[in-house]
Amino acid sequence: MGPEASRTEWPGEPRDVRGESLDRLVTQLHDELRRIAHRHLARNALGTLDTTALVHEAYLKLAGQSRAAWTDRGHFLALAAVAMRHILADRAKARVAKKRGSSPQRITLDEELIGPEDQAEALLQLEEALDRVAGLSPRLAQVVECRFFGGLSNEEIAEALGVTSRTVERDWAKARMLLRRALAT
Amino acid sequence: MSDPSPYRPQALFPPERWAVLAPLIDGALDLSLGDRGDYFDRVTGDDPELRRELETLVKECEQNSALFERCAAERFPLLLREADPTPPELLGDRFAIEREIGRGGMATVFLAEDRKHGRQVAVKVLRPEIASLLGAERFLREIRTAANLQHPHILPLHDSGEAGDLLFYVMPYVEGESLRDRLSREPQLPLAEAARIAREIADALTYAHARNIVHRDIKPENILLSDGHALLMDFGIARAMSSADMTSLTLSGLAIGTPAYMPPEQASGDQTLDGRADLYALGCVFYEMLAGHPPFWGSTPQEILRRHALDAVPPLRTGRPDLPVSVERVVARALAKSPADRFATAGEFRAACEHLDAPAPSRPGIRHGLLALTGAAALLIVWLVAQKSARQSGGTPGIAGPPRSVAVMPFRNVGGNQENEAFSDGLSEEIATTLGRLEGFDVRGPRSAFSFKGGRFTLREVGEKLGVEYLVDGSAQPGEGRVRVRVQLVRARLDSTIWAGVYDRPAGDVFAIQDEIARAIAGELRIHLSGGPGRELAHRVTVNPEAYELYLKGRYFFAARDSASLRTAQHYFEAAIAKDSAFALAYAGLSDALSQHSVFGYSPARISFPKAQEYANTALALDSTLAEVHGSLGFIALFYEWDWAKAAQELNLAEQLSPNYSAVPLFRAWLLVARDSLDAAVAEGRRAIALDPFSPVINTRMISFLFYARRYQEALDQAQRTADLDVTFFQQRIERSRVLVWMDRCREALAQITNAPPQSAPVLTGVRGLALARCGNRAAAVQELERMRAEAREGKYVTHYPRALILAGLGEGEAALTELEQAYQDREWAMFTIKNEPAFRTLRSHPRFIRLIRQVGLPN
Repeated sequence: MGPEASRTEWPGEPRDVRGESLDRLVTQLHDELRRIAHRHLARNALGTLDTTALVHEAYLKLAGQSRAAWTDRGHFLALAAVAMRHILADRAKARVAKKRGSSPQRITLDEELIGPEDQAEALLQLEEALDRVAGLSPRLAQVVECRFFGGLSNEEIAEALGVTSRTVERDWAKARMLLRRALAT
Repeated sequence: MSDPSPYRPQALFPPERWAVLAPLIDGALDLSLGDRGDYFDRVTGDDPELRRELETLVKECEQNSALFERCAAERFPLLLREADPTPPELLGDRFAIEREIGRGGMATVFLAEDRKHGRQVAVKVLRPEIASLLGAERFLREIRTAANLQHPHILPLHDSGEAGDLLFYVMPYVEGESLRDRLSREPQLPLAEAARIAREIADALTYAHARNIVHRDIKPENILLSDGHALLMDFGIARAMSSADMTSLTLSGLAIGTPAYMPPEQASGDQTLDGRADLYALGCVFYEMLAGHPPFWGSTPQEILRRHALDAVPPLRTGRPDLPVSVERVVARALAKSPADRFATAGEFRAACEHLDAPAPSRPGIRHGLLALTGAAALLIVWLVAQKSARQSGGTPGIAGPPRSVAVMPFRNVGGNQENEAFSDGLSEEIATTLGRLEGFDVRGPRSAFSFKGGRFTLREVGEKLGVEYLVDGSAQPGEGRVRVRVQLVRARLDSTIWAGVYDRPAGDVFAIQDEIARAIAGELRIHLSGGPGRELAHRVTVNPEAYELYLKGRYFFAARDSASLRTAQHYFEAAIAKDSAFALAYAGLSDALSQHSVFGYSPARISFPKAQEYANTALALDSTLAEVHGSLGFIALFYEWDWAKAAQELNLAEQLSPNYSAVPLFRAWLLVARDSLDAAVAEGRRAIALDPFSPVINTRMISFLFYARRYQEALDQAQRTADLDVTFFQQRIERSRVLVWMDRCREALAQITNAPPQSAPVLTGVRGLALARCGNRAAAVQELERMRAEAREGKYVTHYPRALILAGLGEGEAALTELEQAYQDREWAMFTIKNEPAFRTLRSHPRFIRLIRQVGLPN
């Protein structure tokens, strides 16, 4: 199953897949991922979650429905990664909004982030950094989304983006470097 | 993505700079460390600054960070945790949460102050899982339809909204309790009060239905009782739920709606629900207010829904003889299976609930106390007895004629000590007391009969002296942790035994044992002493509730059909028998488990079926009036004995005993396949589905029947329906694959069965091998065959029929026939399908095939 449509198009742009708007697809995905996340967490009291498993489960679930309009798995997985990012960002914003007044601490990347507030702050800073990276090179940001938020393997990312695995490896390396720089400033 | 930042941070690199740097970095990353030096020289030329920057960047690219080593969900797990169930202090800038006042499966209710209007309100916050399942948009849209309802018996909606991840809606805070709370305190309400509540809710529904709003989730939890009035609440929620994706809701394990109040059309997923669905639910609530429990009960939601669809309403007056007959009529109409037969409008229902108080002459019947065992099993048993009696005698069973005089003798203590003496005495007293509660008996207690203890008098003499017609006599014999009680009912004047029974129970709680046996015996006596021709209750239900629960579990696992589940089912049935050695149904279950074990190819027919036969015969001896037992016997006759006439006979008998027993048309369909009446087989299959629409097994078999009838497209449609019902039941994919092979849709046929769960039946191998052969992949087909042979050599049981299929698919007719002949020797059940199996079409005229047809006894 190879990618059908041009791979330079991306979730940022509204793209028609079998008549459904992309917004709707992402919403559907978003809902599905949240449901699955809750179910995982309900079962798994300690709350550690394997994104990859999550995304794959969402894929199986949605791909099985005749309503799903995925052109292929790669496309789906990429969208799932975006949705995952949405979920985390929403949550982070909600938490940070609750806390008023205290100034945000810059996160250091190698620390363990203990409290929920720390994690929320860290994620928002990461979001910001990622936006800056996207401004410089959209594809690098996409690789981060897929890899970090979606838990996809290099091969899956290559399939989703229509590039070689090797390109993905290099992109990931560059993206990390840029993110580190963005977070440090 | 994220909101635009309020400030513009410095760009990482100027875009033009990055355009230069990026490809250079790429080039470097592709080289080994040793080669990089030259590369840098080459590309940066005499720009040392560029070279420095490039070297730094490349080094940074190769660094890793802890942050990125794991994925986001692992780095930010707390963000994924369930949202804090306590809402923020101020919801939507308007509602100040004060405290929690209630918590349900779907939402938590808080007392809050509405700052805008300065009044107290109740805020219901949906649990985050539900909220994310429903989706904010859908929820808010549905709930807004309820916002405009203004009626004295509808709890109004003030507002609704979302705050972050939380969805909430706001209602007035009303002092009172829910009908559920009320029923917990007082399970049976007085008729006047129940009728009033029903009328008020019917009023509310009249109003809502006139505005085209159906509630869809009427239940005691949604009815508030306040200040002497009933208020209906939570309009819109159920609508939101029902328009959500049902599969994911059930997969998530959340209970949506309560099956106890669901009309048949809602359960079957009919989207054209109207107000009459609400009336059905209200009818169930009305029933519950009077009976103390809902009309239909079971141990799984599926079972309850099935009963809604198929079973008659248990008469209310069985448990409450004081209720007027008009109440039964109202309930019967409200709970009609087809909406067309119910009250057409809520207004009609309301009118029917007026003037219900007029008393009617009560008739004798089973008092509620007699069969009041604990737990769900008890309800089931009450139901069972009421059902059978209603079916057989068409009304509440009673005892005709003048009261029967009975004396209960002090039971003999056999081989026991003083303790047992106390037990046996106590037992007789219990029986007498219990009998005394029944109408229609004039009971002389054991006290009066105790003077006859010691056996100096014959029973006839005792009967004369006490002036009774009947005597209950018995004994209690203790054993190894068990006690055996023998009872007999004797007609005193003739000294003849009308009925005798034996009860074997583990010695445990003495009073419980006495209780149970006393009730069981009293039940027996009622049957035998009731006047009129023969017995009024055709079926006695003497079931140990624990044993029954084990039996139900056995049936549950039995339904899965794979080897491990069948073994588990077998254990449960055996456990049920250990608890109650006279439990005929459990023996029938055991018989079926063994039969199926062989049918699926896990064990040889010649070993499993004879055992299954034994168990079925034991069940028959225990109770020949059970449809299930005859069903089991019919199955064995068909699938093993190949005795068509006997199979037909047993199935007909099973049907007479229980017209709604879905196994009968199912097995009969197989019989018709054996007799080459394929369209008739399909028709029987449809009857089975009508009786048990949700059964994955029946639906899957339907695919087979259509397949044998060569109605392939219909078979595929049926396969899709079956998949929609329960996608985890793998068997339907095997059947679908068979059909696809003969429609020459090879790729699809193979795709269906490529990801088989490891416990798939051996049947699968044959189907897969056949598909491979027919699709041109001979090598793989031969491999399947070789694998089967290798397993057989290692001692594993491997059936021959699938091998015949593969060989036929490979065009090796003679070899296929050899396998079929072996299958015949082993009495593999599939032999009775060979005439209708497409794979063997080319062998039809072969003399060896013709001989097999004759040997199996198939029509020419």
